[in-house]
Amino acid sequence: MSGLPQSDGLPGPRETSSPLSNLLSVASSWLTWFRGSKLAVVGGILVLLLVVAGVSAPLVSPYAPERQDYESVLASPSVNHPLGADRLGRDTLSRLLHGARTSLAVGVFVQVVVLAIGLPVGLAAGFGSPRIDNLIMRVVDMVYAFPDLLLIILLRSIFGGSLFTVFLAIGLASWPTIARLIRSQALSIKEREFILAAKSLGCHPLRIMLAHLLPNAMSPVIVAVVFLIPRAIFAEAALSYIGIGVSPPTPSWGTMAQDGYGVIFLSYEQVLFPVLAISMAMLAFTLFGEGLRDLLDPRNRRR
Amino acid sequence: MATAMLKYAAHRLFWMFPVLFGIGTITFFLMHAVPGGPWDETKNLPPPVVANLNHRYDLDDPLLIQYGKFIGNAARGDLGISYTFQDRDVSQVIRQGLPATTILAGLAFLISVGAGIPLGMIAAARQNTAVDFVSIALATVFASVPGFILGILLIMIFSVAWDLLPSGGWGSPSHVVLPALALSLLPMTFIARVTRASVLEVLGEDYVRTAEAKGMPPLVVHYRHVLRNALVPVITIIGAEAGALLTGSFIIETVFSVPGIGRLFVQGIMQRDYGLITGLVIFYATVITVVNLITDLLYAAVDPRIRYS
Repeated sequence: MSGLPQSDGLPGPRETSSPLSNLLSVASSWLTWFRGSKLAVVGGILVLLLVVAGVSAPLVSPYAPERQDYESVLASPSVNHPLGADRLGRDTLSRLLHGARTSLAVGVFVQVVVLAIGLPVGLAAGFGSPRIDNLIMRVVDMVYAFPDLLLIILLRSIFGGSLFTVFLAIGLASWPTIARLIRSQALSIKEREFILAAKSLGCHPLRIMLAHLLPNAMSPVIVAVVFLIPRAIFAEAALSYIGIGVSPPTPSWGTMAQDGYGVIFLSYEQVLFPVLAISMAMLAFTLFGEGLRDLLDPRNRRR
Repeated sequence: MATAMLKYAAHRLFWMFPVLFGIGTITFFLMHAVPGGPWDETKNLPPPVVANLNHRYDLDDPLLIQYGKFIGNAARGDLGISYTFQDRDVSQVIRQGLPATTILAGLAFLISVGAGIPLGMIAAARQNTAVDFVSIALATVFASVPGFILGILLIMIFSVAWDLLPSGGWGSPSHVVLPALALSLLPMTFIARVTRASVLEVLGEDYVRTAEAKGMPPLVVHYRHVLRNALVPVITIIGAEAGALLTGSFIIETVFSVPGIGRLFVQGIMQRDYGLITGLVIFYATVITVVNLITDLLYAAVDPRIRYS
């Protein structure tokens, strides 16, 4: 991106130093870089705001998210209801704050599912014999051939039920990206000298995989995982919008948008605020991800 | 050269079948793993009626027999029957929804390509100026606003506030405008970004400097040397976007009540119409695979550096 300061404080090779000094040097280079990059700072602040809103929702919300107040059905923003109230008289601000918890939970737990499947599959493909690799990658290709949202909806209609199955459905549709990335990382890193050195010292293959290969493959994986967060948030919002996402008592921005859309000609606020919240959350993580990518993967720096 | 390309095309075409077969198999077993049958949602039917319905639709056969019939029929282009549209089979339902979806995706495709490429070129030509900065900032913002959100915002502006265009429905040209816009903005920003990066990269190539150094007019350099080469990576994206637009419109179609395939799919999910869902998934997967194949062939055709392997 134009106007981005080019920093030299990038994390260097990490084969030799101890974990702690590693961490410190990486952290300090991140700090230097963050100070110079407006993009990552803006994204980071937005992400932080979102997290604060989600964590503090029960404390700062003026009302309980499911409390109905029939006197203020479709109320416009006022002192009592800073962002108005929906068609059941529920306070929109309180519901938005609690909705942030849902979106963040989806954003984070989907990545847990993605890593839990993507990491072992990618490592097995990258480290296994060519035959195992080929077999695994054909399966990955098949999952990859499904359009994302289509597979999520399909899985969702099969699992039904709770918030957990929303994580699971989105995660099960998103892991191939990470598996492919880790495989390609493993394939290139396993040819490097320090892996050969570890092998010749009689290192156990599992230890090589986990202690030598994985830490060195992590940078692009972290970036890819951060980029999957806004996509997971979007998927949940879209599912809830068409009515097969988070089930009603749990506040979700997608459900709120759907509710508000039904009364769009009576009160535009009820659809505007959740829609803005979804966009802001996605923008926050996208900017943050682009900042991280510029930092961790200098080859991908956008022109 | 030509034979290499034919061989490559044949190879890719051959590999389409196992992939589609796999997708069909996964979908079939996923749909049959669902607890409850397609008749659960309707009124409490007496058991003999359910048994009769199951018999009518062959749902009382052993799973493997059902699977064999399904694969055999699908191979002949028969995607089975829909449980909700009882007078039509899935292929007919798809044919019915296809025109709306195609018109919508086609217009969105024209907008995203027709606006995205010029925008990317303008941004590249004015690199590091205010124009470039603003367009990149807008592209970043729009890239994180999903289509259905944009659709709702468009409805708020053009239908609710200004009352210019209908908020939903189908039948007249004015119905197509908003959903097509909502569908096209995301791919447009994406195409613009890739075009910009690609043009900038080509501008730095030696052959462009050579052309300039030997005194060719700037216009010729820009069109013959820069643009032609810069569009090569853009073609891949355009192809992928065409597939994504055709198969990714179900939420936009639901928001704007467009009677296309996407909305049928969402309705199928709601009604637990497994026949329709399975058929549509296979249809979608076929479209994506074919579009990807065409894109790869096109890509190889425009860039002689790519070898078919």
